[in-house]
Amino acid sequence: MNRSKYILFAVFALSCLSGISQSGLDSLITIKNGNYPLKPTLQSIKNSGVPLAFSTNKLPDIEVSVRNGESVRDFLERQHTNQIVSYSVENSQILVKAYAPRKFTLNGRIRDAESNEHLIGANIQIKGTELGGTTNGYGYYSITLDEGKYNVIISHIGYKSFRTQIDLRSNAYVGFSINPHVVQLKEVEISSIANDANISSNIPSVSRLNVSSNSILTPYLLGEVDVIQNSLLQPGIKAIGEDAGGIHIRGGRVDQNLILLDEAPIYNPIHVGQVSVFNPDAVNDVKIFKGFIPPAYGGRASSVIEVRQREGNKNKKSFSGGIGILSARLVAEGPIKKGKSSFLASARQSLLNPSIESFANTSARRERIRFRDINLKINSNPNERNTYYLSGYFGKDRNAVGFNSIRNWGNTTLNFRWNHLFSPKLFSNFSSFISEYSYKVENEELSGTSVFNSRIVDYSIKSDFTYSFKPTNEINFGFSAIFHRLKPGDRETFDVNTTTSLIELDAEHGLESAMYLSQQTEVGPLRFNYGLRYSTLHNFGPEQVLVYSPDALPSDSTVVDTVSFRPGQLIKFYDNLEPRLAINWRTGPNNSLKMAYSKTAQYLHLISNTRAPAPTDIWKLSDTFIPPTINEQYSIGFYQNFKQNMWESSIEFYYRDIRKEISYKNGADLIFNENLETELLVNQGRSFGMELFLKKKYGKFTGWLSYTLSRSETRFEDDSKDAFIVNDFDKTHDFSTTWALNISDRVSASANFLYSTGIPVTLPSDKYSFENNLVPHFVDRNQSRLPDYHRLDFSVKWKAKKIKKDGSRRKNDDFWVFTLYNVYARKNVNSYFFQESELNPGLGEIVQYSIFGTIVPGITYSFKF
Amino acid sequence: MKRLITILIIFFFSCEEVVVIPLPTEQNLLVVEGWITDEVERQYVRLSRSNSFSGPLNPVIEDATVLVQTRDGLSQTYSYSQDGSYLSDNPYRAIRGEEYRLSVVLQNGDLIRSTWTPIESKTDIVLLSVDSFEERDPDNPGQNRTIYFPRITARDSADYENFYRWILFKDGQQLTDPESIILQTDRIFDGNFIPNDFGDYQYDLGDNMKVELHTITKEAFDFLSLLKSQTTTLSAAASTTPAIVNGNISNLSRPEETVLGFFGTRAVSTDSVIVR
Repeated sequence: MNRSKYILFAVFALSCLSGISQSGLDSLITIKNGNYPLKPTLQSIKNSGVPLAFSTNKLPDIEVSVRNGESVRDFLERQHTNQIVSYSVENSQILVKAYAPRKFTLNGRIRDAESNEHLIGANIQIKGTELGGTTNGYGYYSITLDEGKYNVIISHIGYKSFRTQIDLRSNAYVGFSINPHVVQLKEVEISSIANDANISSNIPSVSRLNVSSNSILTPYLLGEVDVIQNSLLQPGIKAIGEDAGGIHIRGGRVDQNLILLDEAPIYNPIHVGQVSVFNPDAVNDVKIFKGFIPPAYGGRASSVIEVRQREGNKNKKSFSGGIGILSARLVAEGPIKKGKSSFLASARQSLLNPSIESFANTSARRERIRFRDINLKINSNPNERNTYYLSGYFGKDRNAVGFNSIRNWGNTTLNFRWNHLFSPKLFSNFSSFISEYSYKVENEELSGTSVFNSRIVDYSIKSDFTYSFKPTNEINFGFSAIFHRLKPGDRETFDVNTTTSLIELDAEHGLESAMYLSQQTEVGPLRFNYGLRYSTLHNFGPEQVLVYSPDALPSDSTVVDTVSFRPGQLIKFYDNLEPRLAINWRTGPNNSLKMAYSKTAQYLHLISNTRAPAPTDIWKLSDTFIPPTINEQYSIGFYQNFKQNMWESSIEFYYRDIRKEISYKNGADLIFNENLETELLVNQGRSFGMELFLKKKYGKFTGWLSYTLSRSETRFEDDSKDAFIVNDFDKTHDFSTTWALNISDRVSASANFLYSTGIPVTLPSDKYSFENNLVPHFVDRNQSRLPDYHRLDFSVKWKAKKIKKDGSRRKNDDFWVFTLYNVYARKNVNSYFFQESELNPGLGEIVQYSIFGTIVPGITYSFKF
Repeated sequence: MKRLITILIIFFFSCEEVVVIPLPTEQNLLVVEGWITDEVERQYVRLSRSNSFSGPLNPVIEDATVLVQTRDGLSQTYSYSQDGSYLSDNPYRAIRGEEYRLSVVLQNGDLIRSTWTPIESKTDIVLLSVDSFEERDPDNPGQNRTIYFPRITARDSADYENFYRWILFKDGQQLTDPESIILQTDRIFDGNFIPNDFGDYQYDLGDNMKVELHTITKEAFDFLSLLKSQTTTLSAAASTTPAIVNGNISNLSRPEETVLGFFGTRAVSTDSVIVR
C-alpha cells in the first residue's frame, strides 16, 4: 500500500524590510476614497510631510485607488502588488520607483521523509524556468527568486519527486521531506524535469555513489558491498591489481587523492585485502572529483574523494546489520530528541580470522588477519539556523601474516562541525578535527623483540561560507589550517634485558593553511565556477637538518654540516596560488560542453618503495629537500542526456602535467632512515586520456558502461631529455559495465563485467648467479605488460517476505545476497615471479600468479528492524 | 613474501603456474663475484656471464687473467680452478688499513676493474648457544616436535656504523631458507651486545651448528641488500620494483658495457656447536 505522504512545513521569516526607519511609512493618508492619477497622489502624500522621493518621468501615468486612513505602507504595498510601483527606504527617505519585482531567498533543507536524514545532492527546480539548485553536503539549498508564485519540484535519485506551489512574498525557510521509492517494479514515472544534474552542474568529471538511495552498488567479492570497489567501475578510476590497496585517479598516484570522511582526511582507506574502511551501512554519499577540484579543497594533487556518513534516523530507533564471509556489521540509529537530533553508531568486524585458522598449518600458527571499524555520529538541529555534528571513526587492522612480525595500523578521526545560517543567503560551516594514522610493527626478528611505531596526526580548523546572490550566482570562501605532526618512527624494545637502544627519528612539524574565494555564476548559456586557492606550508622545528654539498645530490657522503632548529623556528616555507576554472556551456536542453582547469599543490607525500602502497609506508612533509608536488589538469567533456534524462552519457578528455613527484632510488632504504632525502628523487609525470560513460538511471533495468583510454607516465627529472616511462598502474584500455535488473518484488540480480589491458611489467632479459643466488637482470622498466584482465561477476539479492502468512506485516526487513565472483574462473595474472627452478637449480622459471584462479562464491545476510 | 603468498593461496583460491613468455634479448654480461677475507687462505674470484632468463646454466669464463692489487703496489695473481672460480696462487689475507682492487683482463683484451675497497675490523661472536621451541609436527598430527635454533650474541664496536652479514651452516651446508642473505646493521645497538635469535633456521639433535659473522663495508652491504630485494620479493603488489643490481665493477675498455657483481672484503668470525 502506498501510504506516501508529503510533509511540507514552511516557516516564513520576517520581511527583509524590517530594521529600517519606518516612521514615514506608518503615516496615514488622508485623502478621500477614490481613483486618482498616481503622480499627483504621491505629490500630495509628500506635501503632507511624508519623506517621499520619486522621479515623475520614470513613473507610469496611471490612476490608482486611494483609501482614506490607509497607511503609506499599505498604499505602496497595494501598488506594488498591482505591479505599478516599487518602493524602498534609504536614509529615512521613501524612494518610489517604477515597478520591479523584489527578490527573495528560498532556503532550507531537503530530507528523507522516513528517517528525516538530510539528502545530499537533491534537486530543487522551478517549473517552467531553468532555475534551480541542489542541496550541499549538509542537505541545505538556497535560491533567490523574484517574488511570485512558483511550482517547485523536488527530486532525488531513488525518491519520488514532489511538486508544490510556493507563493514567495518574503524570504522563506522551507524544508521539504520526500519519500523513497518503495516499489521499483514498474518503470518509474519520469517527470518532465527529471534530474539532469550531470549536464547542468558546473563541476565536470564528478563520479558519485549515492549509497543510501537505491542506486546500484553491486556486491563485490564474497558478497560484500564496498565503496572503493564500486568506484573502480567508474571511468578514470583504477587499482593496480586485486591485492593492491589504493586507487589511481586519472593517472595519479595513490597518495594524490584527498580522502575525506566527514571532512577529516583518511590516510589509509584500505583494510586488509581491498576492503575499504568505509562501512557501507554508515555511508550516505560518496563524491569523487576527478577533474575540476573546487577551490574549497586542496592539499592533494589529483582528486578529492568525499565520503559523508549518514546522520541516523531522526524519527525512530532502528537496527540494521549483516553477516557475510568477510565481515559482520551492525548499525544502531535513532532520535535523541525526536525530529531534532539523532545518533548513528556502527561497528564492523572481520571474520577472516576463523577462516584462516581452520586452514592454517603449524608454521602459520601466529598468522592472523583482522580488521574492525567503528563509526559514530551525533547530530543536533535545535533550530533552523544551527546544526551541530559530532562524528568519529575508529579503525584497527592487524596483519600477522608472513614478515616475522605483526603489523597493526589504523585511522582515527574525530570531528565537530557547526552549520550556521547567518542569513537565508549566507550559509556557513565551521569544523575542527583530529585525524590520526598510526602503525605499529611488533617485530620478532633477528635482533630481539621490538616495537616500531610511526604516526601522523593532524589537528585542523576550517570554515566555509556560501553566499547566494541569486540561484545562478553564489560565492564561496573560507580558510583552513592543518597542523601536521609526523612521527616517522621510533623503535623500542620489549625486553628489558636487551642491549638495544631506543631509536627515535626526529618528528616533523608543518602548518598547512589555505584560503580560497570562488564564484559560481551564469552569463547567457555559460555557467562559470572559478576561484583561487592560496595554500602555504610552514615547516618548523625542532629538527636537525643536514646541509649537503651544493654541487652534489644529497647522499651520506655529501653532508657538510648540520643545522639545529629550535621549537617553532621556521625551517622552510612554501606557497602556491592554485587557480581553478570550470565552464559549463549549455549547448542545448539535453546537452552541455564543460571545460575545466585545476592547479593543485601537495605538501604531503607517501614514500613507498613497493608497487602498491603498504600500510607501513611513511608519510613525509615537504621540507628543505622535498618540494611540493604541483599538478595541472586540463579537461573538456561533452554531456548528453536522452529520453528525458533516463539515459546519461558523456565523453571527456583530460591532460595532466605533474611536477615534482617524489620517487625513490633503486634499492632505497626507506625504513628508519633519518635522512630520507638521500634516497629520494624528484620526477616529472604526465597523464592523458579519454573517458566514455553511458548510464541508464531509471527503470526495471539500470546500469552503466564505462570506458577509459589513457596513459600515465613519468620520467626522472623535470624537462629532461629522457623518455617518459609508463607508470606501474597504467592500463591503456579499461572497460567496465554493471547492470541491475529487478526481476520481481523480492528478487533482483546484477552483473559486472570488467576488461582492461594488463598492467606494465618489467621482464628480465638475463639471469646470473651470485653466490648461488639466481638473480634476474632487468634492463628497461615497464616495457612489457601482463596479459589482459577480464572478469564477470553475478549477484542475486533475495528479499524475505514482507507479509506474514496471517497477512500481517513483518517487523523485520531482511535480505540475502548471493554472489559469484570471477564467474568463468579466469586465471587473471596478478604478477610474474622470476625465480630459480626447484627442480633444475641454476635455471630460471617464470611463475604467473593469479590471486583468484577460480570462481569465488559468496553470501551475505542483511537485516533491518 | 612467500609466506604471504602461501596464505593468500589458501584463503583466496589463488593459483601459480609456470609459464613461458617472450623475454627481452639477452645481454650476456660479465658477472664478477669475489671476496677476500681477513684469514690467510686461497681467496677466490668467480667469473661468469649472464644469459637469457629462461636459458640454460650460466656459462663461466675460464680464460681470463685475474689479479688483486693493493694501494701499496703489491699484487696477488689468481689461477683458474673450476666452475668459473679462480683461486689466488698464494694464501693471503686482507689487512686493515690497506685497500684492494680486482683487475681482470678478458680474452678479448677488455680490462675490468673493481673500485678500491678497504676491510673492516672484525666483530667477535661472544656467545653461541642452542635454544629450542616446541611446535606441532606436520608429519605426525597430534604430536609435537622440538626445533633447535642458534642464539648468538656478538659485541658491536661503538662510534661508527657497522654492517654485518650472517651465514648459518648445518653440517657444513649453508642454510638458505628462509633467507639466503642475512644482513644486519648496528643502527639499533651501536656499541652494545647484538643478541640474535635465528628462530627461523631449524636444526635437529646431533646437527653441527656453525655460524659466521662477516663484518662488511657499507658498499658491500648496499649491494647485498639490493641483490636480496631483487631475488626474494619481486613482483607482487607488496614487493619492490625491479631494478638493476649495480655493483662496484666496471669495464674500462668499454665503459658503456655493464659489468654485474661485486668484489669486496669481509672480516669473518666463526663459532660452532653440536646440538645436544
